[in-house]
Amino acid sequence: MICRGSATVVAILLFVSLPALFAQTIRQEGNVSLPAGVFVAPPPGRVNFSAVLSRNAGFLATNFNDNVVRIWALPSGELVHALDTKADPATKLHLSDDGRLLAIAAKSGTIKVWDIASWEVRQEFAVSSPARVLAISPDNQLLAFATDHDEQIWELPTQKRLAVLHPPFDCYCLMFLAFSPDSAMLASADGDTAIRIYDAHTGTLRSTASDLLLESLALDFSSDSKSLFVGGGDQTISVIDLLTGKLRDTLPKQSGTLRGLVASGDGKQIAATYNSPKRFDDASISVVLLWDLSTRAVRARFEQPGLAVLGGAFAHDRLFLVGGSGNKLSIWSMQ
Amino acid sequence: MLTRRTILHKCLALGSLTVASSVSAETMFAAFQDREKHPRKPTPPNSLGPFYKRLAPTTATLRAPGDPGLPLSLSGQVLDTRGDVLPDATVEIWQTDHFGYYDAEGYRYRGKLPVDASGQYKVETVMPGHYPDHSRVCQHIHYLVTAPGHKTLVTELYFATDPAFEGDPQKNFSRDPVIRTPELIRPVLLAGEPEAIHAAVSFELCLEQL
Repeated sequence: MICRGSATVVAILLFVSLPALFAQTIRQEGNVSLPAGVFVAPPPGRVNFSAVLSRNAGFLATNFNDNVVRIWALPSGELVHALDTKADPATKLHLSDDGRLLAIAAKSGTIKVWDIASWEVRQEFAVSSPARVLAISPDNQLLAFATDHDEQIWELPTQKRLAVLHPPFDCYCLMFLAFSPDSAMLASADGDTAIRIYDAHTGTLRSTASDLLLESLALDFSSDSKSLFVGGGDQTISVIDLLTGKLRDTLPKQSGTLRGLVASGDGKQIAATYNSPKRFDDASISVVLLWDLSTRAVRARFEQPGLAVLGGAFAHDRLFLVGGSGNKLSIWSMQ
Repeated sequence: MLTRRTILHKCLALGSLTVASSVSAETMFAAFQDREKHPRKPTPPNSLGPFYKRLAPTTATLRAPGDPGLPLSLSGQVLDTRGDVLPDATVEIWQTDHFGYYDAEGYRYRGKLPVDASGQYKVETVMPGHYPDHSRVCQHIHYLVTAPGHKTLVTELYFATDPAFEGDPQKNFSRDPVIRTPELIRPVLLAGEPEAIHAAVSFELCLEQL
């Protein structure tokens, strides 16, 4: 399951439904056919399956069951690059917020940071075990990753290691890493269900949020870097004060495990995905809710069985959703 | 440079080592060295989540009367890599029910218990189900084992009878990509009358010293 994962790479699967009420706000931006035998929805016991969007909704990086990493331009869905990784399968992908850098962790333990525009490897790191989680800071200066045994922060331009962190239970249990919008903090969703906030440049622990009972499966910072939105098996979005680590608010509980969330740049909305009430990745009854943070109310609800959405990003006053069915990728936008 | 055996002889002479055995000191030294040369391998770690829940109740009985599923007794001993029992260890276990569902709302099929003086634990539960959505291939039970002075162990127990292994876990363990080693797959003992059949699995847990 993805402590996780586990050694598995987990894609955020969302099934989006577009009720008639919101139909006029939804637009299909692109539609792409994948090669025969390549599927958007992972097979049982999937391996090396990953799909990530850049925060600016400019690119999508995918690694489906054929071990080919593909970079797609959004919203057109144009295939920009394809990298065959069969010789050293990719285990995890991460796109920088601006879509300029792609970090690919491989089974061999290497992490390569690619420049999307030139399609050249900018940096390469060799670590002791395949990275389980990856993150690039919004200013593209830092790379954080977790191996089986520790968590490391590196300065990208100099390839200098800035910090080695040792969360509880090793990193077999680390679920998520994310940098704050100002690149000053690194949040780590750890196996003991705590969220630890580190200084991103020194690795110094700044605060620990330990009010949560269940593991957090997704998190995102508020645009002002003062709050952290967290969710998981507790089926809620918890708002954590980054200064104190204390729980500031909890949005109304839903009926499914929260598996993905993204906060809008203006700090007013959060899009969150809830899967089956009891299952980790049972996408068949998943929903996406768009929350208004000022009213703590759901502004829109989306569900449509049969369409698996791989992720979402707020950009250009819209929420972009990338999904698919079978071997077809679809790009949607919602205003 | 002094040899290990010389040091042991010196310890014996100075009283910092006592051999309380009917066999000779030489035999005991040989056994001592043999034990040191052949440390136990730590239990391989495995994934924790994503359904770990903090503050599980202290109980050894996860199965309630009338629960569906094959009754299962889990037992084993908690040791360190030197083979010493860890009487201060705590074993925490969580799993799905017979139908493959975790209880995220409450604490069904979640519990922790201290081991006894000989490092032994025993838990009464049911055989966990397969995930209905097949997002995990094999039935499994999660373990989180702690002991003072030792590295926390997070691992999973798998069952040799799982259909995914087709009777040959050594060969087919990688059918579940989360399983990196067949060491975590344990044989299942079936016992009892057909109308009251139950299963038993032994799972020894070996922790690394800090």
